[in-house]
Amino acid sequence: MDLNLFITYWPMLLKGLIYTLYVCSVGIIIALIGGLILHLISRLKIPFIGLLYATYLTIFRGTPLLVQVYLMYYGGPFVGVELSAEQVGILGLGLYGSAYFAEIYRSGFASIPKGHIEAAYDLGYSHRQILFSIQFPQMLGLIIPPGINQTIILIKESAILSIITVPELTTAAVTMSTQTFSVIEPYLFLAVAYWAITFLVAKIGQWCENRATIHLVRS
Amino acid sequence: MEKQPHKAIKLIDLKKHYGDNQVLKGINLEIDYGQVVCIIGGSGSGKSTMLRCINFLEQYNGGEVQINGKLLGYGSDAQGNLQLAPSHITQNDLSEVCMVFQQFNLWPHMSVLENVMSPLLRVHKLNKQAAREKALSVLEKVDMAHKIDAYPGQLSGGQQQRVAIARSLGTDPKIMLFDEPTSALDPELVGEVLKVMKSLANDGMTMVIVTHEMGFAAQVSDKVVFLAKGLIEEQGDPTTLFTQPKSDNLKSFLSTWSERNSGIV
Repeated sequence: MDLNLFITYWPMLLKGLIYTLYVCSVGIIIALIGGLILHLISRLKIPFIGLLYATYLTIFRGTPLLVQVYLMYYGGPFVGVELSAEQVGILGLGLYGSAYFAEIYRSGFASIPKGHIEAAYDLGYSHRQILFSIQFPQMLGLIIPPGINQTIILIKESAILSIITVPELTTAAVTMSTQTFSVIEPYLFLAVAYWAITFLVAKIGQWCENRATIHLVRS
Repeated sequence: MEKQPHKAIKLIDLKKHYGDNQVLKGINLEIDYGQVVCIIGGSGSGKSTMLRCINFLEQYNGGEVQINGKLLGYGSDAQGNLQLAPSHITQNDLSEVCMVFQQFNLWPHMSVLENVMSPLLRVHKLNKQAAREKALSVLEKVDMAHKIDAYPGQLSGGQQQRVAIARSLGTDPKIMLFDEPTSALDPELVGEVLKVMKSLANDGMTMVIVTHEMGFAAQVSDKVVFLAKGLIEEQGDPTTLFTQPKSDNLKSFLSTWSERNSGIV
Protein backbone atom coordinates (compact mmCIF):
# COMPACT_ATOMS: atom_id res chain seq x y z
CA MET A 1 0.00 0.00 0.00
CA ASP A 2 1.40 3.36 -1.02
CA LEU A 3 0.26 6.00 1.43
CA ASN A 4 2.20 8.63 -0.54
CA LEU A 5 -0.67 8.67 -3.04
CA PHE A 6 -2.75 10.48 -0.47
CA ILE A 7 -0.24 13.35 -0.35
CA THR A 8 -1.24 14.20 -3.89
CA TYR A 9 -4.90 13.26 -3.73
CA TRP A 10 -6.10 14.34 -0.30
CA PRO A 11 -7.43 17.72 -1.45
CA MET A 12 -9.57 16.01 -4.09
CA LEU A 13 -10.76 13.31 -1.67
CA LEU A 14 -11.58 15.89 0.97
CA LYS A 15 -13.54 17.90 -1.56
CA GLY A 16 -15.41 14.74 -2.52
CA LEU A 17 -16.14 13.97 1.10
CA ILE A 18 -17.50 17.45 1.74
CA TYR A 19 -19.54 17.21 -1.43
CA THR A 20 -21.02 13.88 -0.33
CA LEU A 21 -21.91 15.38 3.05
CA TYR A 22 -23.52 18.33 1.32
CA VAL A 23 -25.53 16.32 -1.23
CA CYS A 24 -26.64 13.82 1.39
CA SER A 25 -27.64 16.45 3.96
CA VAL A 26 -29.76 18.42 1.54
CA GLY A 27 -31.16 15.26 -0.08
CA ILE A 28 -32.07 13.72 3.25
CA ILE A 29 -33.63 16.93 4.55
CA ILE A 30 -35.79 17.00 1.40
CA ALA A 31 -36.63 13.33 1.97
CA LEU A 32 -37.57 13.93 5.62
CA ILE A 33 -39.81 16.88 4.84
CA GLY A 34 -41.11 15.38 1.60
CA GLY A 35 -41.90 12.10 3.32
CA LEU A 36 -43.85 13.88 6.05
CA ILE A 37 -45.81 15.95 3.54
CA LEU A 38 -46.45 12.84 1.48
CA HIS A 39 -47.72 10.99 4.54
CA LEU A 40 -49.93 13.84 5.73
CA ILE A 41 -51.41 14.21 2.24
CA SER A 42 -52.10 10.48 2.12
CA ARG A 43 -54.24 10.86 5.27
CA LEU A 44 -56.55 13.41 3.66
CA LYS A 45 -59.93 11.97 2.87
CA ILE A 46 -59.96 13.01 -0.77
CA PRO A 47 -60.80 10.61 -3.60
CA PHE A 48 -57.80 9.28 -5.57
CA ILE A 49 -55.32 10.55 -2.96
CA GLY A 50 -54.70 6.99 -1.87
CA LEU A 51 -54.11 5.91 -5.44
CA LEU A 52 -51.75 8.82 -6.06
CA TYR A 53 -49.79 7.98 -2.93
CA ALA A 54 -49.56 4.30 -3.85
CA THR A 55 -48.37 5.21 -7.33
CA TYR A 56 -45.62 7.45 -5.98
CA LEU A 57 -44.50 4.72 -3.64
CA THR A 58 -44.51 2.07 -6.34
CA ILE A 59 -42.44 4.18 -8.67
CA PHE A 60 -39.83 5.40 -6.22
CA ARG A 61 -39.58 2.31 -4.03
CA GLY A 62 -40.00 -0.16 -6.84
CA THR A 63 -37.15 0.97 -9.06
CA PRO A 64 -33.42 1.34 -8.32
CA LEU A 65 -32.09 4.78 -7.46
CA LEU A 66 -29.55 4.28 -10.24
CA VAL A 67 -32.31 4.02 -12.84
CA GLN A 68 -34.17 7.00 -11.40
CA VAL A 69 -31.20 9.37 -11.51
CA TYR A 70 -30.17 8.05 -14.92
CA LEU A 71 -33.62 8.77 -16.32
CA MET A 72 -33.72 12.19 -14.69
CA TYR A 73 -30.26 13.24 -15.78
CA TYR A 74 -29.96 11.71 -19.24
CA GLY A 75 -33.66 11.33 -20.04
CA GLY A 76 -34.76 14.69 -18.65
CA PRO A 77 -33.48 16.82 -21.54
CA PHE A 78 -35.61 14.80 -23.97
CA VAL A 79 -38.75 15.94 -22.18
CA GLY A 80 -37.50 19.46 -21.62
CA VAL A 81 -36.23 19.08 -18.07
CA GLU A 82 -32.60 20.04 -17.92
CA LEU A 83 -31.05 19.76 -14.50
CA SER A 84 -27.41 19.83 -13.44
CA ALA A 85 -25.83 16.67 -12.08
CA GLU A 86 -25.89 18.19 -8.60
CA GLN A 87 -29.57 19.08 -8.86
CA VAL A 88 -30.44 15.59 -10.08
CA GLY A 89 -28.35 14.08 -7.30
CA ILE A 90 -30.04 16.03 -4.54
CA LEU A 91 -33.52 15.75 -6.03
CA GLY A 92 -33.00 12.05 -6.76
CA LEU A 93 -32.04 11.27 -3.17
CA GLY A 94 -34.89 13.46 -1.93
CA LEU A 95 -37.64 11.91 -4.04
CA TYR A 96 -36.37 8.38 -3.52
CA GLY A 97 -35.96 8.89 0.23
CA SER A 98 -39.37 10.56 0.55
CA ALA A 99 -41.09 7.34 -0.45
CA TYR A 100 -39.31 5.42 2.29
CA PHE A 101 -39.67 8.09 4.94
CA ALA A 102 -43.39 8.46 4.20
CA GLU A 103 -43.86 4.82 5.17
CA ILE A 104 -41.69 5.26 8.25
CA TYR A 105 -43.90 8.16 9.36
CA ARG A 106 -46.98 6.06 8.67
CA SER A 107 -45.72 3.22 10.84
CA GLY A 108 -44.79 5.72 13.56
CA PHE A 109 -48.26 7.24 13.65
CA ALA A 110 -49.86 3.81 13.47
CA SER A 111 -47.93 2.65 16.56
CA ILE A 112 -49.55 5.26 18.79
CA PRO A 113 -52.35 3.54 20.72
CA LYS A 114 -55.76 4.76 19.58
CA GLY A 115 -56.73 5.35 23.19
CA HIS A 116 -54.21 8.18 23.56
CA ILE A 117 -55.97 10.05 20.80
CA GLU A 118 -59.44 9.22 22.12
CA ALA A 119 -58.47 10.55 25.53
CA ALA A 120 -57.35 13.82 23.96
CA TYR A 121 -60.48 14.05 21.83
CA ASP A 122 -62.56 13.38 24.93
CA LEU A 123 -60.83 16.19 26.81
CA GLY A 124 -61.71 18.60 24.01
CA TYR A 125 -58.51 18.73 21.96
CA SER A 126 -58.90 19.79 18.34
CA HIS A 127 -57.49 17.65 15.53
CA ARG A 128 -54.61 20.09 15.19
CA GLN A 129 -53.82 20.01 18.89
CA ILE A 130 -53.91 16.22 18.88
CA LEU A 131 -51.52 16.12 15.93
CA PHE A 132 -49.02 18.53 17.43
CA SER A 133 -49.12 17.75 21.12
CA ILE A 134 -49.97 14.04 21.23
CA GLN A 135 -49.09 12.40 17.93
CA PHE A 136 -45.96 14.24 16.77
CA PRO A 137 -43.93 13.93 19.96
CA GLN A 138 -44.71 10.23 20.29
CA MET A 139 -44.23 9.53 16.60
CA LEU A 140 -40.81 11.23 16.57
CA GLY A 141 -39.58 8.94 19.33
CA LEU A 142 -40.88 5.89 17.50
CA ILE A 143 -39.38 6.66 14.09
CA ILE A 144 -35.83 7.42 15.17
CA PRO A 145 -34.50 3.84 14.83
CA PRO A 146 -36.00 3.13 11.37
CA GLY A 147 -35.29 6.74 10.35
CA ILE A 148 -31.59 6.44 11.17
CA ASN A 149 -31.50 3.13 9.35
CA GLN A 150 -32.95 4.76 6.26
CA THR A 151 -30.59 7.72 6.54
CA ILE A 152 -27.59 5.38 6.58
CA ILE A 153 -28.90 3.53 3.54
CA LEU A 154 -29.39 6.81 1.66
CA ILE A 155 -25.86 7.96 2.48
CA LYS A 156 -24.42 4.75 1.10
CA GLU A 157 -26.70 4.87 -1.94
CA SER A 158 -25.42 8.36 -2.69
CA ALA A 159 -22.32 6.62 -4.13
CA ILE A 160 -24.52 5.91 -7.15
CA LEU A 161 -24.46 9.62 -7.99
CA SER A 162 -20.89 9.14 -9.26
CA ILE A 163 -22.53 7.55 -12.33
CA ILE A 164 -24.00 10.89 -13.36
CA THR A 165 -20.72 12.72 -12.65
CA VAL A 166 -21.69 14.35 -9.38
CA PRO A 167 -18.22 15.21 -8.00
CA GLU A 168 -18.76 13.42 -4.70
CA LEU A 169 -16.65 11.03 -2.67
CA THR A 170 -16.95 7.96 -4.89
CA THR A 171 -16.23 10.00 -8.01
CA ALA A 172 -13.07 11.31 -6.34
CA ALA A 173 -11.92 7.84 -5.38
CA VAL A 174 -12.63 6.42 -8.83
CA THR A 175 -10.71 9.28 -10.44
CA MET A 176 -7.80 8.63 -8.12
CA SER A 177 -7.90 4.96 -9.01
CA THR A 178 -7.92 5.48 -12.78
CA GLN A 179 -5.23 8.12 -12.66
CA THR A 180 -2.83 6.10 -10.49
CA PHE A 181 -3.77 2.54 -11.46
CA SER A 182 -4.10 1.82 -7.75
CA VAL A 183 -7.09 -0.03 -6.33
CA ILE A 184 -6.49 -0.79 -2.69
CA GLU A 185 -5.71 2.75 -1.56
CA PRO A 186 -8.67 4.66 -3.02
CA TYR A 187 -11.29 2.00 -2.38
CA LEU A 188 -10.14 1.22 1.11
CA PHE A 189 -10.23 4.93 1.81
CA LEU A 190 -13.73 5.03 0.34
CA ALA A 191 -14.88 2.21 2.57
CA VAL A 192 -13.41 3.82 5.68
CA ALA A 193 -14.89 7.21 4.79
CA TYR A 194 -18.45 5.88 4.31
CA TRP A 195 -18.11 3.81 7.44
CA ALA A 196 -17.00 6.86 9.42
CA ILE A 197 -19.95 8.95 8.22
CA THR A 198 -22.53 6.28 8.91
CA PHE A 199 -20.94 5.45 12.26
CA LEU A 200 -21.28 9.08 13.24
CA VAL A 201 -24.90 9.18 12.06
CA ALA A 202 -25.67 6.05 14.05
CA LYS A 203 -24.14 7.59 17.17
CA ILE A 204 -26.12 10.79 16.76
CA GLY A 205 -29.22 8.67 16.23
CA GLN A 206 -28.58 6.78 19.42
CA TRP A 207 -28.22 10.01 21.34
CA CYS A 208 -31.47 11.33 19.88
CA GLU A 209 -33.25 8.10 20.68
CA ASN A 210 -32.11 8.19 24.28
CA ARG A 211 -33.34 11.75 24.61
CA ALA A 212 -36.63 11.15 22.86
CA THR A 213 -37.52 8.03 24.81
CA ILE A 214 -36.43 9.27 28.21
CA HIS A 215 -40.01 8.79 29.41
CA LEU A 216 -39.91 5.07 28.67
CA VAL A 217 -37.38 4.30 31.39
CA ARG A 218 -38.90 1.99 33.92
CA SER A 219 -38.36 2.50 37.59
CA MET B 1 -77.05 19.27 45.04
CA GLU B 2 -79.42 21.90 43.67
CA LYS B 3 -82.28 20.83 41.50
CA GLN B 4 -81.36 20.70 37.82
CA PRO B 5 -84.01 21.31 35.18
CA HIS B 6 -82.72 18.51 32.96
CA LYS B 7 -81.58 14.96 33.35
CA ALA B 8 -77.79 14.67 33.31
CA ILE B 9 -78.02 11.91 30.72
CA LYS B 10 -81.04 10.72 28.81
CA LEU B 11 -80.81 7.86 26.35
CA ILE B 12 -83.81 7.44 24.09
CA ASP B 13 -84.03 4.25 22.07
CA LEU B 14 -80.25 4.28 21.50
CA LYS B 15 -79.17 2.00 18.69
CA LYS B 16 -75.75 1.12 17.39
CA HIS B 17 -74.60 -1.52 14.94
CA TYR B 18 -71.30 -2.55 13.43
CA GLY B 19 -72.21 -3.88 10.02
CA ASP B 20 -74.77 -6.61 10.66
CA ASN B 21 -73.91 -6.86 14.30
CA GLN B 22 -76.57 -5.05 16.33
CA VAL B 23 -74.73 -4.05 19.50
CA LEU B 24 -77.31 -1.73 21.07
CA LYS B 25 -80.90 -2.51 20.25
CA GLY B 26 -82.72 0.42 21.78
CA ILE B 27 -81.52 1.59 25.18
CA ASN B 28 -83.70 3.87 27.28
CA LEU B 29 -82.08 5.28 30.37
CA GLU B 30 -82.29 8.39 32.50
CA ILE B 31 -79.63 9.51 34.92
CA ASP B 32 -80.01 12.45 37.28
CA TYR B 33 -77.31 14.82 38.33
CA GLY B 34 -75.52 13.50 41.39
CA GLN B 35 -76.48 9.90 40.69
CA VAL B 36 -73.98 7.07 40.58
CA VAL B 37 -75.05 4.41 38.12
CA CYS B 38 -73.21 1.15 37.61
CA ILE B 39 -73.60 -0.74 34.39
CA ILE B 40 -73.03 -4.49 34.62
CA GLY B 41 -73.38 -7.27 32.11
CA GLY B 42 -71.46 -10.01 30.35
CA SER B 43 -68.90 -9.38 27.64
CA GLY B 44 -70.51 -8.37 24.37
CA SER B 45 -73.61 -7.07 26.13
CA GLY B 46 -72.90 -3.57 24.78
CA LYS B 47 -72.05 -1.82 28.03
CA SER B 48 -68.81 -0.25 26.84
CA THR B 49 -70.38 0.71 23.53
CA MET B 50 -73.21 2.41 25.37
CA LEU B 51 -70.75 4.41 27.42
CA ARG B 52 -68.78 5.38 24.32
CA CYS B 53 -71.96 6.52 22.59
CA ILE B 54 -72.79 8.76 25.56
CA ASN B 55 -69.45 10.47 25.05
CA PHE B 56 -69.72 10.32 21.27
CA LEU B 57 -66.52 8.35 20.91
CA GLU B 58 -68.78 6.14 18.81
CA GLN B 59 -71.34 7.51 16.39
CA TYR B 60 -74.67 5.91 17.14
CA ASN B 61 -77.06 4.88 14.41
CA GLY B 62 -80.43 5.54 15.97
CA GLY B 63 -82.14 7.16 18.91
CA GLU B 64 -80.82 10.05 20.91
CA VAL B 65 -78.26 10.82 23.55
CA GLN B 66 -79.12 13.92 25.52
CA ILE B 67 -76.68 15.52 27.91
CA ASN B 68 -78.27 18.10 30.18
CA GLY B 69 -81.28 18.13 27.89
CA LYS B 70 -79.23 18.74 24.76
CA LEU B 71 -79.05 16.32 21.86
CA LEU B 72 -75.46 15.28 21.41
CA GLY B 73 -73.59 14.72 18.19
CA TYR B 74 -76.54 15.28 15.91
CA GLY B 75 -78.81 18.13 14.95
CA SER B 76 -82.02 18.05 12.97
CA ASP B 77 -82.28 19.56 9.52
CA ALA B 78 -85.32 21.38 8.13
CA GLN B 79 -87.17 18.10 7.53
CA GLY B 80 -86.50 16.92 11.05
CA ASN B 81 -83.98 14.29 9.99
CA LEU B 82 -80.96 13.74 12.12
CA GLN B 83 -77.72 15.13 10.73
CA LEU B 84 -74.25 14.61 12.13
CA ALA B 85 -73.37 17.83 13.92
CA PRO B 86 -70.09 19.65 13.26
CA SER B 87 -67.49 18.23 15.61
CA HIS B 88 -66.77 21.52 17.40
CA ILE B 89 -70.41 21.69 18.50
CA THR B 90 -70.24 18.13 19.76
CA GLN B 91 -67.04 18.95 21.62
CA ASN B 92 -68.70 21.92 23.25
CA ASP B 93 -71.60 19.80 24.43
CA LEU B 94 -69.12 17.25 25.66
CA SER B 95 -67.09 19.60 27.79
CA GLU B 96 -68.95 18.59 30.92
CA VAL B 97 -68.57 14.87 30.22
CA CYS B 98 -65.28 13.07 30.80
CA MET B 99 -64.24 9.49 30.31
CA VAL B 100 -61.86 7.37 32.35
CA PHE B 101 -60.57 4.46 30.30
CA GLN B 102 -59.70 0.89 31.09
CA GLN B 103 -56.21 1.41 29.66
CA PHE B 104 -55.73 4.77 31.46
CA ASN B 105 -54.53 6.39 28.22
CA LEU B 106 -52.11 8.77 29.84
CA TRP B 107 -49.78 10.34 27.32
CA PRO B 108 -46.46 8.57 27.83
CA HIS B 109 -44.26 11.43 26.65
CA MET B 110 -45.56 13.78 29.34
CA SER B 111 -44.90 13.69 33.06
CA VAL B 112 -47.75 13.27 35.51
CA LEU B 113 -48.02 17.02 36.00
CA GLU B 114 -47.86 17.72 32.26
CA ASN B 115 -50.58 15.14 31.60
CA VAL B 116 -52.92 16.95 33.96
CA MET B 117 -51.86 20.45 32.93
CA SER B 118 -51.96 19.90 29.18
CA PRO B 119 -55.75 20.01 28.69
CA LEU B 120 -55.97 22.99 31.05
CA LEU B 121 -53.44 24.91 28.98
CA ARG B 122 -54.54 23.83 25.53
CA VAL B 123 -58.29 23.43 25.81
CA HIS B 124 -59.28 25.55 28.77
CA LYS B 125 -56.67 28.22 28.06
CA LEU B 126 -55.59 28.70 31.67
CA ASN B 127 -52.27 30.43 32.19
CA LYS B 128 -49.35 28.33 33.36
CA GLN B 129 -49.58 29.32 37.00
CA ALA B 130 -53.32 28.68 37.25
CA ALA B 131 -53.04 25.37 35.39
CA ARG B 132 -50.27 24.24 37.70
CA GLU B 133 -52.23 25.09 40.81
CA LYS B 134 -55.33 23.40 39.50
CA ALA B 135 -53.33 20.31 38.49
CA LEU B 136 -51.67 20.08 41.88
CA SER B 137 -54.99 20.34 43.67
CA VAL B 138 -56.61 17.53 41.70
CA LEU B 139 -53.49 15.38 42.00
CA GLU B 140 -53.69 15.96 45.74
CA LYS B 141 -57.26 14.71 45.62
CA VAL B 142 -56.23 11.38 44.08
CA ASP B 143 -53.20 11.18 46.35
CA MET B 144 -50.66 11.46 43.54
CA ALA B 145 -49.13 14.85 44.31
CA HIS B 146 -45.86 13.17 45.33
CA LYS B 147 -45.29 11.81 41.82
CA ILE B 148 -45.73 14.88 39.66
CA ASP B 149 -42.38 14.51 37.88
CA ALA B 150 -42.71 10.80 37.13
CA TYR B 151 -43.61 9.56 33.67
CA PRO B 152 -46.60 7.23 33.28
CA GLY B 153 -44.26 4.34 32.41
CA GLN B 154 -42.72 4.62 35.86
CA LEU B 155 -46.04 4.24 37.68
CA SER B 156 -48.11 1.23 38.68
CA GLY B 157 -51.44 0.69 36.95
CA GLY B 158 -53.33 1.93 39.97
CA GLN B 159 -51.26 5.10 40.12
CA GLN B 160 -51.72 5.68 36.38
CA GLN B 161 -55.46 5.33 36.70
CA ARG B 162 -55.55 7.79 39.57
CA VAL B 163 -53.59 10.30 37.48
CA ALA B 164 -56.04 9.70 34.62
CA ILE B 165 -58.90 10.46 36.98
CA ALA B 166 -57.09 13.63 38.07
CA ARG B 167 -56.61 14.63 34.43
CA SER B 168 -60.37 14.37 33.90
CA LEU B 169 -61.17 16.12 37.19
CA GLY B 170 -58.98 19.05 36.25
CA THR B 171 -61.40 20.03 33.51
CA ASP B 172 -64.29 20.29 36.03
CA PRO B 173 -66.60 17.73 34.46
CA LYS B 174 -70.16 17.43 35.71
CA ILE B 175 -70.50 13.87 34.50
CA MET B 176 -67.77 11.22 34.62
CA LEU B 177 -67.90 8.00 32.68
CA PHE B 178 -65.76 5.07 33.79
CA ASP B 179 -65.13 2.29 31.28
CA GLU B 180 -64.03 -0.70 33.37
CA PRO B 181 -61.56 1.48 35.27
CA THR B 182 -60.10 -1.37 37.31
CA SER B 183 -60.19 -4.23 34.82
CA ALA B 184 -56.60 -3.77 33.67
CA LEU B 185 -55.24 -3.60 37.21
CA ASP B 186 -53.54 -6.16 39.38
CA PRO B 187 -55.98 -7.21 42.12
CA GLU B 188 -54.02 -5.51 44.89
CA LEU B 189 -54.20 -2.15 43.06
CA VAL B 190 -57.96 -2.14 42.54
CA GLY B 191 -58.70 -0.81 46.01
CA GLU B 192 -56.81 2.48 45.68
CA VAL B 193 -58.72 3.39 42.51
CA LEU B 194 -62.08 2.43 43.95
CA LYS B 195 -61.29 4.52 47.01
CA VAL B 196 -60.79 7.60 44.81
CA MET B 197 -64.00 6.87 42.93
CA LYS B 198 -65.88 6.44 46.17
CA SER B 199 -64.74 9.84 47.37
CA LEU B 200 -65.89 11.37 44.07
CA ALA B 201 -69.28 9.75 44.53
CA ASN B 202 -69.47 11.18 48.05
CA ASP B 203 -68.67 14.62 46.65
CA GLY B 204 -71.80 14.36 44.52
CA MET B 205 -70.23 13.69 41.12
CA THR B 206 -72.56 12.23 38.51
CA MET B 207 -70.95 8.94 37.57
CA VAL B 208 -71.69 6.18 35.11
CA ILE B 209 -69.48 3.20 35.76
CA VAL B 210 -69.10 0.08 33.67
CA THR B 211 -67.63 -2.38 36.11
CA HIS B 212 -67.18 -5.98 37.15
CA GLU B 213 -66.67 -4.97 40.77
CA MET B 214 -70.05 -6.04 42.16
CA GLY B 215 -69.11 -5.26 45.74
CA PHE B 216 -68.21 -1.74 44.76
CA ALA B 217 -71.38 -1.39 42.69
CA ALA B 218 -73.47 -2.50 45.65
CA GLN B 219 -71.76 -0.01 47.94
CA VAL B 220 -71.69 3.21 45.97
CA SER B 221 -74.35 3.12 43.30
CA ASP B 222 -77.81 4.62 43.44
CA LYS B 223 -78.85 2.47 40.55
CA VAL B 224 -77.50 -0.65 38.88
CA VAL B 225 -78.30 -1.40 35.27
CA PHE B 226 -77.94 -4.90 33.87
CA LEU B 227 -77.34 -5.09 30.15
CA ALA B 228 -77.77 -8.23 28.08
CA LYS B 229 -77.52 -8.55 24.31
CA GLY B 230 -77.82 -4.83 23.67
CA LEU B 231 -80.84 -4.19 25.85
CA ILE B 232 -81.41 -3.16 29.44
CA GLU B 233 -82.74 -6.32 30.98
CA GLU B 234 -83.12 -5.13 34.53
CA GLN B 235 -82.42 -2.03 36.56
CA GLY B 236 -82.98 -0.88 40.09
CA ASP B 237 -81.37 -0.06 43.38
CA PRO B 238 -78.39 -2.30 44.10
CA THR B 239 -79.82 -4.12 47.10
CA THR B 240 -82.93 -5.27 45.28
CA LEU B 241 -81.10 -6.05 42.07
CA PHE B 242 -78.37 -8.11 43.68
CA THR B 243 -80.53 -9.94 46.21
CA GLN B 244 -83.73 -10.45 44.21
CA PRO B 245 -82.78 -10.67 40.55
CA LYS B 246 -85.81 -11.33 38.36
CA SER B 247 -84.50 -12.29 34.94
CA ASP B 248 -82.74 -15.58 34.30
CA ASN B 249 -79.85 -13.84 32.59
CA LEU B 250 -79.13 -11.71 35.61
CA LYS B 251 -79.50 -14.68 37.95
CA SER B 252 -76.96 -16.72 36.03
CA PHE B 253 -74.68 -13.68 35.63
CA LEU B 254 -74.68 -13.07 39.36
CA SER B 255 -74.22 -16.71 40.27
CA THR B 256 -71.24 -17.05 37.90
CA TRP B 257 -69.77 -14.00 39.51
CA SER B 258 -70.29 -15.15 43.09
CA GLU B 259 -68.95 -18.62 42.33
CA ARG B 260 -65.82 -17.17 40.80
CA ASN B 261 -65.45 -14.79 43.69
CA SER B 262 -65.73 -17.50 46.30
CA GLY B 263 -63.16 -19.53 44.43
CA ILE B 264 -65.36 -22.48 43.43
CA VAL B 265 -64.63 -22.07 39.73
